[in-house]
Amino acid sequence: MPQNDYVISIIPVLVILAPIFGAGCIMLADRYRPILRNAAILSGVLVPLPLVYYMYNLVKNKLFLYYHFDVLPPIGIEFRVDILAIYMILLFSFFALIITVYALGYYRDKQEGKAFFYFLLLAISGTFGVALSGNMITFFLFFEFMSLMFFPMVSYKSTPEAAAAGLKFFFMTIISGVAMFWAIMVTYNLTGSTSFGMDGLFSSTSPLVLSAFICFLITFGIKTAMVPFHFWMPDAYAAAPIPAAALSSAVMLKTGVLGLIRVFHDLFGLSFIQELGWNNILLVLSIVSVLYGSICAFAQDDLNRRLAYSGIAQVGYMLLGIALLSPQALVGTVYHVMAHAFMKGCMFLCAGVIFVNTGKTKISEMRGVGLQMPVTMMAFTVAAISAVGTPPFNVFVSKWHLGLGAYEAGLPWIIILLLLSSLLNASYYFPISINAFLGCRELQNIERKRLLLQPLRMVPVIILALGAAVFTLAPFNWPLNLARAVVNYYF
Amino acid sequence: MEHEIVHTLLPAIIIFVPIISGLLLFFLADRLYPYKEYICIGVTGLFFILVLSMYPAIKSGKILLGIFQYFSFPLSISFKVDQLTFFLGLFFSFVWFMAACYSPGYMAHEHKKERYYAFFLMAEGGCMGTIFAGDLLGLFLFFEFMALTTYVLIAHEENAITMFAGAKYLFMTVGGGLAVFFGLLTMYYLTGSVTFARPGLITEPSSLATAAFIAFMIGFGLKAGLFPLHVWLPDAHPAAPSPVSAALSGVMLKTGIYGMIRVVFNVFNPDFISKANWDMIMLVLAGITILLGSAMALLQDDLKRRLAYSSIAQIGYIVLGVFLLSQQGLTGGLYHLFTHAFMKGLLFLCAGAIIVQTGIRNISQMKGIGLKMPLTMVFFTIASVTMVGIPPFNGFISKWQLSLASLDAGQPIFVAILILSSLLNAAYYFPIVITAFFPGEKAAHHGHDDAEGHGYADQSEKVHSAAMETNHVNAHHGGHQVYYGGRLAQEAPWHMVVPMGLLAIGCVAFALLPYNWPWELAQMAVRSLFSM
Repeated sequence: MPQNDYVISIIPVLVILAPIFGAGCIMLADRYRPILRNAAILSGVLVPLPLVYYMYNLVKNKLFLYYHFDVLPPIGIEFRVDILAIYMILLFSFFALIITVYALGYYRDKQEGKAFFYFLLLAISGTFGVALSGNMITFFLFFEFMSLMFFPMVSYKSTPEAAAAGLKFFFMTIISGVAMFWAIMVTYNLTGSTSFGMDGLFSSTSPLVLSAFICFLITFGIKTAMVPFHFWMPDAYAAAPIPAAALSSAVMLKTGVLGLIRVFHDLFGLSFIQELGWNNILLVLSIVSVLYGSICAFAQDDLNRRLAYSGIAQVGYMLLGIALLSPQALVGTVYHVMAHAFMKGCMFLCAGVIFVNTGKTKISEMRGVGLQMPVTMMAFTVAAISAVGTPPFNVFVSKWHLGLGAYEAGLPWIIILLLLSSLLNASYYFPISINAFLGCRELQNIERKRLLLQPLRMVPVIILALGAAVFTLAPFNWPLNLARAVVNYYF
Repeated sequence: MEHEIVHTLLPAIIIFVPIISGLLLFFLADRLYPYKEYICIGVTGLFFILVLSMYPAIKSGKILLGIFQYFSFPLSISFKVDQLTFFLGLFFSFVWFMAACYSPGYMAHEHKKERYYAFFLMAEGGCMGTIFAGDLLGLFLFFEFMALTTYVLIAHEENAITMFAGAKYLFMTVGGGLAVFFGLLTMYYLTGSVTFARPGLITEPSSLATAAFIAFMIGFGLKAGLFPLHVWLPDAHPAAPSPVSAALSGVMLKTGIYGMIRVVFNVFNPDFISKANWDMIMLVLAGITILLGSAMALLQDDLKRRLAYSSIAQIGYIVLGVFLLSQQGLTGGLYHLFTHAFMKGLLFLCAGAIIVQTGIRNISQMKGIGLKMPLTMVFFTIASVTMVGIPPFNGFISKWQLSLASLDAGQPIFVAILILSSLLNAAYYFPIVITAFFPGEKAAHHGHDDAEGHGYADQSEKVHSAAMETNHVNAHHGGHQVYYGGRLAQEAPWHMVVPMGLLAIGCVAFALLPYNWPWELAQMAVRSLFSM
C-alpha cells in the first residue's frame, strides 16, 4: 500500500451533512412553505454532487482527504477519502439523486409520501457517511444510522406484511450491530486502533481474533444478504416501497461489500488473511449464495422477490471476488458494485413503474405489459441482458475479471459456477421480457393500449438502462480505471 | 506469402450500417413504417455492394484492418477483412439481400412488420460483425448480438409452437455463448491476448487448453448444429418466417463454422490439433452429424423440418472439411459452405413460397404442386439436384473435393459416408420433386382437399387472401379454388420469384462458367489461412 499525502478537509463532513439538512428543510417546508418542498428534497441530494466532484479531483491527483473529530475519546470520529471511498461516494451520490427523483415521481400524492422523504434522505446521508468514514467506529456509527433509517421505509406501507418484514429487518439490524460492536471492541483491544489505511492491524492470531473476523462476516453478511443471513431481504423488498428497495439494492448492499473490503484489506490485511486461510469461509458462503439465490429466484412469482433473490446471487459474485484475494477478482468485485447498481436499480425502478401504472406485482400477470409500456420493458430487457453477462454491457466486464481472478487464485471450477449462474440468470429474467412483448396476440385491444407514463419515473429508468452500456462503449472505461486504481492501491 | 495490411475504417463502418438502420427502424417505427421494406432491401443491398467494393483490394492480396477505438472493454475491438472473411461476407451478404428482397411478399399478411424488418437488419449486422470482427472478443460480441436478435425473428409469429421453439433456441444459445465466454477467458488467461494470430496463440498442451477447445467447440458447435447440440435447430428453423429460416440455415449456422475455423487456425494451430487427436473426435462427430441429419430428414413430413435436418447433415460436410486439416479439405469445406448457403437459402424460400401461396407445409400434401407453382418448384428442383451433388452443379464440386481430401487424409470411410448421405439426400428430396410434377391421376384434387381439411386456421386465411391478391384476374371465381383456371394460377408474385431465381442461378452458374469465381475465392481464402 503506497503512502499518500493527506489534506485536512471538512468537505467529507459537508457531504454527509447535506442530506441531513435536506431532511430538516423538508420538515420545515412541509410545515411552513409546502411549495418549497421539492426544492428542499432535491437540494439534499444535489448539494453533495459538486463537493464529491471536488474530492474526486483531489483524490485523482493522489491527495487524500482527512478529517478528525475529537469526540468519542479515545478514538474519535475520522473521515478519510481514499480511492475506494471516492469510488463508492461517486456511485452512492449518483444513485441517491436518481432514486430521489424517481421517488418524487413514485409519490405523486404528496400526503402519502410525506414522511418517506425524511427517511430516504437520512438513510442516504448514512450511506455517504459509511463511504467516507476513516475508521471502524465511524463506519459503525453511520452503518447503524443507515440501517435504522431503512427500517421505517420497509414498514412504510403499514400493511401487516410490511410490519412483519420491518420487524424482521429491525432484529437483523440489531444482531448485526451487536456483532459489529464485539468485533470492533476486540480489534481495538488487541491493536489499539481501528483506523483504515494501515495495511493490516493484526500481527498475531488468537481465537479472539477469529471471533472478531466472524463477527465482521456476520455483520456485513446480514447487510449484503449472504446466505445464512439472507432471509430478511426478500420479505423486506417485497414489502417496501420501490424506491426504498432500489436504494437498498443499489446502494446499501454495497456498504456491506465496502465494509468487507475494508475488513479484509484495511483491518486484517491481505497477507494475514491469506496466511490463515480465513477467506475460505467467505468463499464457501459466497458460492452458496450465488447458487442458492439463483435457484430460489426461479421459484418466485412476485417480481420484487425474484429481484431480491437474484440480488443475493449477485452479491455472491462480489463477495466471491473479495474472497478470492486476487487483484483481478477485486477489480471484478469493485466493478460489479457499479454494474449491479445500474442493472438491479434499473430493474427495481421498472418493477415500480409497472406496479404504479398497472398494479401488477406478479410475473404471471405481466403478460403483454411490454405493449402497454414498451420503454420500461425495453429498459428491463437491457438490464436483463446485462445481467447475463452479454458483451457490450457492464456485467460482462465484471464477470470477465472475476473469471480471471478465479484463474489467478487457482480455482478454475469457480468459473463454471459463474457460467452456470449466468445461465440461471438468463432463464429467470428472459421469460419476463419475453412474456411482456411476445406471445400476446390474443390480448384485447384495451390491454394493448400504450399507457401515458410519468416522466419523473421514466427518466431515471432510462438513465439507468443507458448506464448498462455507456461506460463499456465509451472511449475509456471510467469506472474500470477507478476499480483498477483501487486494486493498485491495495495490492 | 505476406499480406499487406491496409488500415481503413470501412470494415468497421459497414457493420454498423445495418445495425444502426435497424435500430432507427425499431425506435422510429411510427415515422418510418411506410418505408420499412425499402429500407430493409436498400440497406442489405447497400451492404452487399460495400462488401463487393472491397474486392479489388482483397484480390491484390491486401487485408483491410480497422481498429475501432471507441470501445473500452477490457480490450479494444478491431475489424478485419481478409481473404477468408471476404469470401464468407460476400456470399452471406448476398443471401441476406435475397432474403430481404423476398420478405415483403412473404410478410404481406403478417403482423408487426416494422419489428420484423428492424430485427432482420440487426441480425444481419450481428452476423456480418461476427464474420468481420478482427479478434475473438469482437467475434463473441457480435455472435451474442446476432443470437439475441435472431430470437425475436424466430418467435415472430408468437403462437405456442414458435414461442416454444424460440425459448429452446434462446436458452441453448445463451448456454453456447457462455461456453464461448469460458473459452475466451481461458485463452486470455493462457496467452494474454484474444487476437487472431498465426500460428495460433495456444501452443502448449495443457488441461486448460483442452478445456478451452471443448468450450469453443460446444459454443460454436451449438450454433452450427453439430451432432449432440443440434436439438434446437429442427424446432427453430421451421418456426421462423421463411426468409429468416433461409438466413438462419444459409448463413447463421455458418458463423459457428467460421468460429471453428478461427479456433483451429488462429487460437490453436492445425499441427497442435492433430497431435492432440482432437481432429479425430470432431471428424467422428461430423460423420455422425451427416448420417443422423440425413436419416432424420427422411422421416419428416413437414417440409421445413426436413430442410432443417438436411441442414444439419450439410453442416456435417463442412465440419468434415475443416477438420481434415488439409488445404484441400478446407477448400472443399469452404466451397460447400458457399454452395449450401445458396441452395439451402433457396430451398427455404421455395418452402416459404409454397406456404404463402397454398398454406401447405406437409410434403404428403404437395402432390401436383409443381403444376400450380412451376417456377418455384423448378428452383426447388435445381436446389435439390445441387444438394445431391449431381455433376454440373456446385454441390458436386464440393463433394468431389471433400472426398479427395478424405482419401488424401487416409480416411476413406468418410467417402463412404458422403456417398451414403448423397443417396439419402436423393431419397428425401427427389420424391418431393417427382410428386410435385407428376402427381398421378386425381392426386392434385386430393392434395388440395387435404390442405383445406388440415390446414392451420390462420394459414388458410392467409392462403385465401394471398390467392385473392395475386390472382385478381381469377379472384371473382372464389379465391383459392381457381387454380385450374391457369397453370400459373398460384405462382408466387414476381418479387418473390426473382430472389429465388437469382439464388438458383447462383447454384448453377458458377459451376458452368469457365472461371469458377467462388472456387478461386475459396482457394485464395485457404491459401491465406494456411500461409498467414
